[in-house]
Order: sequence, then C-alpha cells, then structure tokens
Amino acid sequence: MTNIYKPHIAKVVEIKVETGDIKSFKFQFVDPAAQKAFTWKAGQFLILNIFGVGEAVFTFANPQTRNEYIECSIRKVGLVSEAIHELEVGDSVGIRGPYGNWFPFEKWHGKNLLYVAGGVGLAALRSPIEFALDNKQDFKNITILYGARSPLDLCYKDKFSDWETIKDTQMILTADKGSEGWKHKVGFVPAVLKEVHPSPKDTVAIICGPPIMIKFVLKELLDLGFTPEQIVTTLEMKMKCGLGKCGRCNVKHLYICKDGPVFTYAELKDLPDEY
Amino acid sequence: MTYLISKENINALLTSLLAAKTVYAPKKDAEETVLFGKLGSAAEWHGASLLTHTTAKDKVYLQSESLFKIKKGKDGVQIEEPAEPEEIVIFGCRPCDARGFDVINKLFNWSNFVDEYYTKRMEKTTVITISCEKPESTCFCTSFAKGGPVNETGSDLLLTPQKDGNYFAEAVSEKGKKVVSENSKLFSEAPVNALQEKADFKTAAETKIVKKLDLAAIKKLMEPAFEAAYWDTVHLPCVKCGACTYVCPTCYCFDITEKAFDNLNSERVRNWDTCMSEIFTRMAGGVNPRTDTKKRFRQRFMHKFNYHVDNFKEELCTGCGRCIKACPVSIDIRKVIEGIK
Amino acid sequence: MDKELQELIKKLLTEKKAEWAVGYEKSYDEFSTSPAFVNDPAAAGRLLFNKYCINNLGSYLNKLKKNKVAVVCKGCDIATVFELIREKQFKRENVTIIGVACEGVVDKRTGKLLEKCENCAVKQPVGADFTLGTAKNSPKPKSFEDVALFEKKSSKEKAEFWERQFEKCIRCYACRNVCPVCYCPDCFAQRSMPEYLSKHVEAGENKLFHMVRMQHVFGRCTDCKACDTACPVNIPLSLLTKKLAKDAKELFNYESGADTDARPPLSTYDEGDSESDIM
Repeated sequence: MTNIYKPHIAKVVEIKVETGDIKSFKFQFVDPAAQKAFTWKAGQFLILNIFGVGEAVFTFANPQTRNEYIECSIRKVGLVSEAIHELEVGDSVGIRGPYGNWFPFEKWHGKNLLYVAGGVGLAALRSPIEFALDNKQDFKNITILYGARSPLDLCYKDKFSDWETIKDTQMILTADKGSEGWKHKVGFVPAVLKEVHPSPKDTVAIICGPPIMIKFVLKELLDLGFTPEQIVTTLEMKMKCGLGKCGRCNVKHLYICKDGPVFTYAELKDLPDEY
Repeated sequence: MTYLISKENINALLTSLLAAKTVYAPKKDAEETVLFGKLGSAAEWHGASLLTHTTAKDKVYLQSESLFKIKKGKDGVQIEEPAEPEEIVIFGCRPCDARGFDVINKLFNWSNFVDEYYTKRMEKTTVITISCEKPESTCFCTSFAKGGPVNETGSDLLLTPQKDGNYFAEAVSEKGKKVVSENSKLFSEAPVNALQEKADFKTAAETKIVKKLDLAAIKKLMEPAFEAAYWDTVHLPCVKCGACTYVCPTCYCFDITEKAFDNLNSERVRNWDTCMSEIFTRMAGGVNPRTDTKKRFRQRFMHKFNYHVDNFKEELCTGCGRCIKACPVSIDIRKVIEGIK
Repeated sequence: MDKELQELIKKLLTEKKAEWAVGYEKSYDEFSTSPAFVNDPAAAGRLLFNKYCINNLGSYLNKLKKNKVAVVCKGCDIATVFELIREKQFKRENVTIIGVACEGVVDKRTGKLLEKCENCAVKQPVGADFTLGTAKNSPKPKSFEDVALFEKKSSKEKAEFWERQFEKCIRCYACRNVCPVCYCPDCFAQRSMPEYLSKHVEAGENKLFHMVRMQHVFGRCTDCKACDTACPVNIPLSLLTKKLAKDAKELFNYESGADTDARPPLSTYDEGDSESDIM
C-alpha cells in the first residue's frame, strides 16, 4: 500500500543554536539510497514527525542542490516544536514530503532577485536564496535585505559572508534597534527598503516575515512600481495532512498546502484581511 | 439489471449477507436513537425510520482511524501499518447517504495523493440503498443535480418499495450485480410495470419535499457577500459545536494526532474535526485567523456551497437535512444560504 | 402572548433600555424554534413563545457581556441567569429578564413533554423584571426518584449502561457548548499543552470528557436539560445532571440558581461538610 501518511525514518546528525529560541537541525534518512533519491524544490515544505508527540510543518531550510541532508530551522512555540528542541544528535524522527508548490525559478531566469526578510522569516527564504546563489549564472543581481528586532535576533549570521562573496550579490542588514558594535543600518525593514529604492525593472521581489512587516513592505514595493505579479511570498497556515485532504488550510477555494504555500501578491489580493 | 425481491426475502438476504460479511444497518436502541450498527441477525434491522441519527460515513471513513503504530527500539524506529480492512455491507441507507460517499470519494482521490485508508475500505464496501417514501420537512435532496429520493449515485444496489410491499431492485454496479448473483434464489424477474411504479413513487415522494433551492443562483451571490453585514447577525444563535459536522454525510475535514502509550510506543491517528471548533485554525504559539465565531460560521457555508464547487463542480452537501435536526438550536442550513443577498 | 412580548421588546429597544433582545423565532417547521437576536425595534415581530421554545437563552448572555440585553426566560431559565450573575459573568442591571409563563416544552426529538416540566414549580416564573402570561405550577415537587432507582443498580449494570452510552458519543461538544456554565475560553478538552484529552474518539476518552465536565459543573449546573436535549445521539445526560443536583441538595443542602449571593459547595469549606464523595 502506498501509504501517503507514512514518514521516512531519519536521524538527527547536527544541531545548531541560531538565536534564543531558534535551533537548526540537520537530518539524514537511515536509508542512504532513500536520502539520495529524495529531492525537493525551494519553497516546498515537509512534515516532521516526532514519535510519541506528533507532526508539524516546516519549510526546507536548505536547497535541493545540497541534498546530502535535510535541514530545518525551528522556533520553540508549541507542543511539537518544544519536543523537537529536546532532541539530541542520534535521535530518530520521521519526515514526509515534499509537499506544496515551489518558487518558480524557471520563470525568473535573467532577472534580478530582491529578497526581503524579517526575523525568522529568513528561515523560509534561506532555501530559495541558496538555490539562486548555487545557480547564480541564471540570474542577474541578487539583493538580500534582511532585518530583525535587534542584532541578536538575526539568523544565519555565519552565512552572510559566504553569500556576499558570490558575484553581483549584495546583503543589506538592518536592526530595529542597534547595539554596540553594530555597523549596519538601524531602522525597520520597510523604511530601509524605501531608502534602498530598488528598481522594479526585470525584478522579482520575494518576501517573508511577520505579518506587520509584510503589510508595510508590500506598500513600499507597490509605491516603487512593482506589480502584484512581481511580488512573491510564502504563506503560513495551520496545516495537518499537507496533501490537500484534511481541509484545515482551506482559504477560499485554495488549499495552502496544495495551491501554495508560494503565492504571488496578485493571487493573494482577494483573500480576507487576516491572511 | 433489474429484479424483484419480496418483503420476506429481504430478511433472507440480510441473513445470507450476515453469514459472509459484517453488515451495518439501522438499529434502534433503548433511547430511541437509530444508528448504523453491526447486525447480529436480520431481525435487528430497524427499517421504519427515514433517517438514522448519524450517517454510515463512519464505517468507511472512520471517526478515529489508526494510521500506524510506532515502536521505538534500540535499533531505531519501527512503523507498523494496520491490517487490511474487511469486507462490509452497508444496508438500508438512503440515496442522500449513498451520494455522500460519491462526493467524498473524489476528495480522497484528489491532487496526486490517494488516501488508501479510505479507498481500500470503500472498495470493500457494498452499499445497499432503500429509496425514500416519505421525505421529512428537513429534506432537500432535490436541490442537487444528482439528488433525489430514488437517485442511485453511490449505491451498489438500489431497492425501491412497491405498493404491494415488495422491492424493485436495481443493480447499479458490479458489486450490486454480485449481491444478486450470490443470492439469485431470492431475486425474481421484475414485473413489466416496475419502472413506471418507480417513476410514480419518485413523483409522490418529491411532492413531500417542501423546499427546493436554486443553488447556482445562491453560489453567484456568495463571493460578493463575503464581507456582508448579514454574517454579523446570522451566526449569533450558533453555539459552534460540531453536531452538524459529525452527522453530515459529506463533511470530511480531519486532524492527525499522536497517542503515546508509553515512552516507546505510540499510535498515529486520523480523527474527524470540525471547522466550527475554535482550535481548528489555531497555530503553534496561539496565532489564529478564525477566533471570531462569525468567521467560522461563514466558513462552513462558504466551503460547502462555494469553494468546494469551485474545486469539484458539485456542492459539499446532499440535502439530507440531518444538520437541521441535530443542531441544538435548530439552525436551518437552507434558511442561512437563502438569506444571502 | 406573542403580541404582548413583541410590544414589550419593541419598547425596550426603542427606549434603549436594551441594545439586544434575545428571544425565540420560528424555525424550519411548526415544531421547532430557534434563538433570535434582535437589535432593531422594527424586527421585534419575529419573536414568539410557544411549547417548542426549548432552548435555554440564558447561555447567550456570556456572549453579549458588554451589552445591555433583554432576554426571554422560562421559569427554569431564570435560575440560569441568576447563577451566571452569581458567578459575576455580568451585572444584574445590564439584563432585563422577561419571564414567560410556560406549560412545559416539547423535545423536538421525541415530540414529548420534557420530564422536568411534569413537576415544575416555576411554570409561573419568579424573579423576572417583566412577567407575561399566567400558568399554574405543578403540585408535585421535583423528585429524584429516577436517580435513586438508577443508583440502586449494580456497579456492573451501571458501568455497562454508561459504556454503551459513551460508545455512541461523537464528541461534537454540543452538550458543552449549549451549557450556560461551560464558558471557559480554554476548555480542558481542547488543550494541547498538556493534552488532557486525546482527540481519539472512543468510549474511554468520551467517558473521561463527560465525567470531567460533570465535575466542573457540579454545584453550578441548574439542571436545565440543555445538554441532554442537544445531544444528537440521545445520550441521557439529564440522568447525570439530575444526580449532580441530588448530590448538591443531599450532601450540601445547596440548590444552584436560587440565590445570587450564595457560594457553591465546591468553593467553600464548612467543617460539617459531607465527605462521602471524597472517600
């Protein structure tokens, strides 16, 4: 029986503490052949099984170009994520996926990519950022604008220098509140975006972050001349099955797990405000 | 393929089916509740009530289905899948119940993922339906393209009562034909006027249906009325329980949870859930887009008559009226959607 | 009485003595009614009162805490309103109780009069701000005979009876949601951290839900039968609520809803308290 609910068994191979309540985990399937055959596209998500506790949805933090392992960045907020934070290297988990749609990079060849992320929103964008950087030749300029509440809340700090070494790639960092030794910008992400004043010509804007940030970033982008089709985001919704059956993520006629989680702003415009 | 089966032979048919498989049919208990229960003998079948209190949906789409058992050991984790489901017969449901299976079959086979827990059970289920003679004031099956008191959608064998007490039997599918061929002694040739009698039966039954909704017209009004002030007041009597959801033959939303027995053993279970519940859309950390009861109430009707139609070209409803009867405050689904302007 | 009721509601809404009026209106056929919420005096004509007005409208007061509300109450519903006031869920001056004389209400599932109506001592309501109509109270007092009879059954019989009932339960939570005193925003049944109740629907879990809910409402339940009549699969919850009322009366000499200043048995301690239910 092809059991769509049955997970692959994997083990925790590495744990890294990113900030106060966010940890990154690297998993590998116990079956190496299955690991090699397993692939996904940036933007998709997986469902992590913590045996004895339950399942939860997380995005792939690493791109498919680096698929020797599967990485997730997880913030401790609820029952399952709390159990995940208790895991140690060598513990077993279950992984099922990939589910959902993906960032349509094939459509963006030759364009500039502008990533705008806030706080832990960078975790959802890490996979598309690294995928684009691993395939830099397909794209023009890549700009990553990333901000958090304070310098301590920035994720993946150790990766920034790696990213900036790639040709035609620029990282703009900001914090709502500076601190000692902070050499980068100080201010909210939407304000910095306005300051940077990127051109919408041949550019795709990919955004992710807390709802309030998205609201103002959207406004800025539209003011700058970006069309709704040029703005892409990934939506978060309570999901359970991940495969378009249980009805939890149903918003209007869309199922976020099946028709998303990646959407252009044009597709989202007609949804009720709370989304 | 059409036949005749006498009233007496119905009992014989039940006895014959019971001998080979588990048969679920309406049974009445001491509190006058009529539910689909396992028949121990043909005499236990309660055929007098029109509708059972809950549907037979939970015999194929279990309320709590064990997906697999998990065992943690020193060499890793073992996942134990359940045994194959057994063959069952659902006897004595109504056309609206049978059509409910047809509606949710499509969902469980949708979007590249086939839920084999459901589809395997459905494959092993034979549905024997009895046509409706006296629809109640809450029935509205004729509002649907494939609905009606003698409609055969979703049935394997359809039995329509005749004036002389016997039943006109139609084998709608291969499974239905199998029932007849395995019990051929009980079925005889249908009389020449049987089809005409069935047509008369249908007309007579349909006159008792008090309301027929224009669902296409209603759907057109739904999208523009999403933010209408109508929803602010119409939801007020609703207590946001799940009675309507759990007695519905087409509601399918579910939850997946884990039950831990001890440190090493747990079980992954799929349970029914209801969008009326406050925690349906609650995410980890407490964020919840639908805390407002008005939004949850609106979601139910929008999903059934608008969104589901967009995705599957049919409504998520069969017009059985159980939600109206089960609702503790007697909210009428027909009144709610007719009130949308 | 309908005309009188409608005129009164119209007056209260027009004079702004109430912002919302909660009453009954016709539902899908002549044997059913639904709660009606009216805030426009012109719409008062929707309201009526007859023997099919079975719902306890007092439970809606929890939803309209910030408003001035006029609520149509049968004699038994008034006890609920007083109980909620005692629990400080809203202020007495924000509620206008419109008592309606009642000869008993009919359960839409059976077509019969509710058992509680047969020996009702408040057919003529007491304690309302306005009282409409007249009715004669039943001479027979409320008896706990049926509960006493059930108590006499053997443990095995009782266990089997309830096992069969909880097997039927579909965990729709209709009983909890219609209950006037079940208003906890974070019900124990819905918690995930920790998970008290598994979402698994089977007799054992169902039993746990009902037993804990009964414990939580002990001493506060007014035995209004809303839970019993709400159950889609006819579980006789009224047997349990009546047992609660019997215990409250016999063990603690307490009757819920009678006195808005009283303290219920489980939140007070008196040296002479019965300990039979603990040991």
